[in-house]
Amino acid sequence: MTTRLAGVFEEGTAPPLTSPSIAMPAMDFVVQWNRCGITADYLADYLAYAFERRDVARSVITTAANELLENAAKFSSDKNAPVRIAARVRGDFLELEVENVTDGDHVDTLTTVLDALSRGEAPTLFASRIESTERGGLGLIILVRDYAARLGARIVSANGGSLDQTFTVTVRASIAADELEQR
Amino acid sequence: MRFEVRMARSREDVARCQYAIAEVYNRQYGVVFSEDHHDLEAKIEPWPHRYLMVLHDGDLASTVGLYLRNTYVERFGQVERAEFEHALGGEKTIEVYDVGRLREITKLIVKPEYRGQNLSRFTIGCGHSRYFCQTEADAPYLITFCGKRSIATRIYAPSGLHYRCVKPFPIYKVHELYRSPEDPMDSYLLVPEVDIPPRWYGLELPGEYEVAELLPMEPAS
Repeated sequence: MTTRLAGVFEEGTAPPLTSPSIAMPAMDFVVQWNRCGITADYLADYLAYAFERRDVARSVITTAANELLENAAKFSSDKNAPVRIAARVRGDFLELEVENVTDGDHVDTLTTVLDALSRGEAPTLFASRIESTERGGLGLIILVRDYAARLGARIVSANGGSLDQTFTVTVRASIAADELEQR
Repeated sequence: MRFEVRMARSREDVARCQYAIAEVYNRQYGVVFSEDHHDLEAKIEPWPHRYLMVLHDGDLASTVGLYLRNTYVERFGQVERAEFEHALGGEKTIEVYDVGRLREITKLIVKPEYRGQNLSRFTIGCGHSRYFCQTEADAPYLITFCGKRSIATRIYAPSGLHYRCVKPFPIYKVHELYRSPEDPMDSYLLVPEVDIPPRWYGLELPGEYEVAELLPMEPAS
């Protein structure tokens, strides 16, 4: 089992004030795609109490959570494996994490996008995605461009060396409280 | 092999059909589903309103769906009323059937472990039983479907179902892994008592049937 990181995957030092998490099979999202939005809305409603400008924070959290969930559901290679979303409120910023099982092709694409975003290339990536028919990662790029989210991933290979290698990927978005409240 | 054929009635039955369809459609075509909205460019498909179950010892072997209204062909096929009427043919047929009354057979799947037993033809035939495709109807509906040409020639025709090609189906992103230039999609129409053989249209449901007893090979449509 090997672990590597992509983008900005840094651990917060302050203990979380609250850290809810939910897990459900990826197939549940495939069967009713609106469940991505429902889950994101639930989490946003739950977390918004931690912020002064609740309506604004709720809107940003639901956008970010929905984006991470849709990506995880869409690119889960084993649709019966769970997608887990977790949040940690650390006072001055929020961490949203989504974990799923995926394949090597998606890991390569995700790593390329996250590394480019960590180099400050969000505007360039956004322009190129808009002009091309390829839309992969557009939602993640928007999270960085519009909310200054710091995005990273922890990638753990589950069965190294085999042809059908799968990876457990945890994508994390860290968003400052000031960005969540649009101050 | 003998199969129980019945319409999904309970919430549990509907969920079994939806999960079976979603598993195949997502793996093969990258499609997801929603009851609330659809977006063919985002590959989000609308769920059918009714489902037919083909079961072996209680295990769901195959299923097919039915749109009772707002058919896929009407919403996305860009078919004009005149084009449906042209496909209907003679005035007598036009007098009996209203092209505004359409239902659509859709989302046929056979679970991998039951493939190779002619179940796709058997299931599509059963889907044209009046007890399924005309369920809850006060007067007969015309039956439509859209699909690749190979579905028409390899599943419909050998089942004995006659079909009328209405027009080519427009290109959408949701079908990028399904259709190809060599195997394009079309919209089709079936006139129940003309195009559906009595053994299918009159097939009593629920019931138990052998695949072989209902599937003698017939000339292609």
